[in-house]
Amino acid sequence: MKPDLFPILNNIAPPQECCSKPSGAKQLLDRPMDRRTAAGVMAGALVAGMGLLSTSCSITASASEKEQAHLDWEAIFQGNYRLMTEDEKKNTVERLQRSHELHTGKTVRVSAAEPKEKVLYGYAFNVSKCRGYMDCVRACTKENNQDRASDMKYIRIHEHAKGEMNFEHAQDDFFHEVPAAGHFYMGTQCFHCQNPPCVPVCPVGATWMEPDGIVVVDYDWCIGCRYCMAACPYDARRFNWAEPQVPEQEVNPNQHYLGNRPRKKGVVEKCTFCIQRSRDGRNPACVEACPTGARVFGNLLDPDSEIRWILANKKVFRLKEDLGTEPKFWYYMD
Amino acid sequence: MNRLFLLLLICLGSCSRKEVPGHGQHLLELIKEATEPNSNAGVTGEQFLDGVERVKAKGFPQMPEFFVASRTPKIERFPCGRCHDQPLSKLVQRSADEGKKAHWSLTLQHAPANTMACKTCHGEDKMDELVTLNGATVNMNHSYQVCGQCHSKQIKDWAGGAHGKRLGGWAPPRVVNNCAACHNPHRPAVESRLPARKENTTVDEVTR
Repeated sequence: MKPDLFPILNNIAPPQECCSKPSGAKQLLDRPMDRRTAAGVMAGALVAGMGLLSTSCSITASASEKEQAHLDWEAIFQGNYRLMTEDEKKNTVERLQRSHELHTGKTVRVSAAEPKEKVLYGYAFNVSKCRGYMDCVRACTKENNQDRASDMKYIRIHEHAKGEMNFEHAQDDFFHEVPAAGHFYMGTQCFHCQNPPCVPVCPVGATWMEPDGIVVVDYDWCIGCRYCMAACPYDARRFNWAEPQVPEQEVNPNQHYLGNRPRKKGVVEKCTFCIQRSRDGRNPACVEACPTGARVFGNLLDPDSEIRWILANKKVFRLKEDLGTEPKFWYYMD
Repeated sequence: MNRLFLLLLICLGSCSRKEVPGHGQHLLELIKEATEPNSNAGVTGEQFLDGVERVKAKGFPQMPEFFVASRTPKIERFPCGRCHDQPLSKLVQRSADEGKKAHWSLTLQHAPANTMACKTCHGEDKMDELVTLNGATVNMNHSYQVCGQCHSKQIKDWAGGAHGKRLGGWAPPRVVNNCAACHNPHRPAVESRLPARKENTTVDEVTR
């Protein structure tokens, strides 16, 4: 049995039964706490409040500055995404949209689309077909608003010398004509394990698996301890050591709260199977960009899906299957 | 008494967690249990297909219905009959007399010459259609039927979804590319190229 490191969040009611749930701020304030904790909470709120108050009541601050201060004030009381009611989710994404507009003058769409019933996403990767073109890596970076300064990538394409499949010896930063003679290529990214080892180690419950199988991160709840990165046996998670840099004209405006909305310094992020696309019925950007058709995405619970045909008809394998992580990402060959 | 207390403690501990659906259940069991076709799941990928022209795939009775992107809108100067208004033998003779005036960029680099020639796939009389090895005509939009005669393993994988490229999204309708959309039938070998890099890559980074 897994260690119960965040009992409060493990015991929360599933979202569909939670219509009478109190707001995030109320939950924060209603929990039992001793005098010392209460003093700490109040002192923190006082400091934050005074700063915002001075802006919002200032006669020199402009209207947009005041609005931004008001939005920042609301953000302080934002709860964990899983604890939010429908209305709170709606308000939160609207606030994020407005905040982006105030900062940049551009409009973005932040979605809070819920998982679809009877859908469990899975992925298959054809090792015979991948030729190392890296179109997937580039499409992913653009789609998911990843930090350009550190050249963050969710996907790595490993160039293996034929005759072995040793990731220690593989090259994942090649730049020469591909496919190179005597080599084969293999991509790794987050495998969205059905038994994700990154989830129970999070001390604040900022990462979890959605009912449609996507392992997500609440960037506003992540404290940046990077336990999840240490727990992941596949090196799937990335950390923002600095404020992520994305040129304004390259920002993808089609966003999801749990997906590609802009991150901040000190939080962990990862592949979300392009949740902003997949929940609309679209393929992830890497699948769409792959010129060789080596990437297949679909619904594991639909017996007519391509991914189910592959599982039933091809010889497949998963990485480090013996760990019991149950990745929903299979490799196969022609 | 102590044992009873311990037992009670274990019971309480194991009951206190609410299980996420599917959590703890073996993934493959979960998948195998899903036997009811659920291809719509309340979503459609139609809006991501940009109204691509398609035909229903023929000849795969055991497979769920799927569509193939039409070839004819992609072929320059189709229908072929606009130029090929004379029998092929006459045009070949004209080419021999006057020099090659059309298809000058076409060379067949697909299979050895004793295996394959133009008329292995193209009909001599009906230029707008393809032909099978047995001489039956095949509509250009169903060109996969011609390829599948030799590439039987590939066409099986293609119909199932392990080979080829699906257009739009994962949600139905399933529309896949025709073979010739990716493989040039006259020269099917895939050429090597440099991998994609971000736009601001400097020469130093490239040569490093």
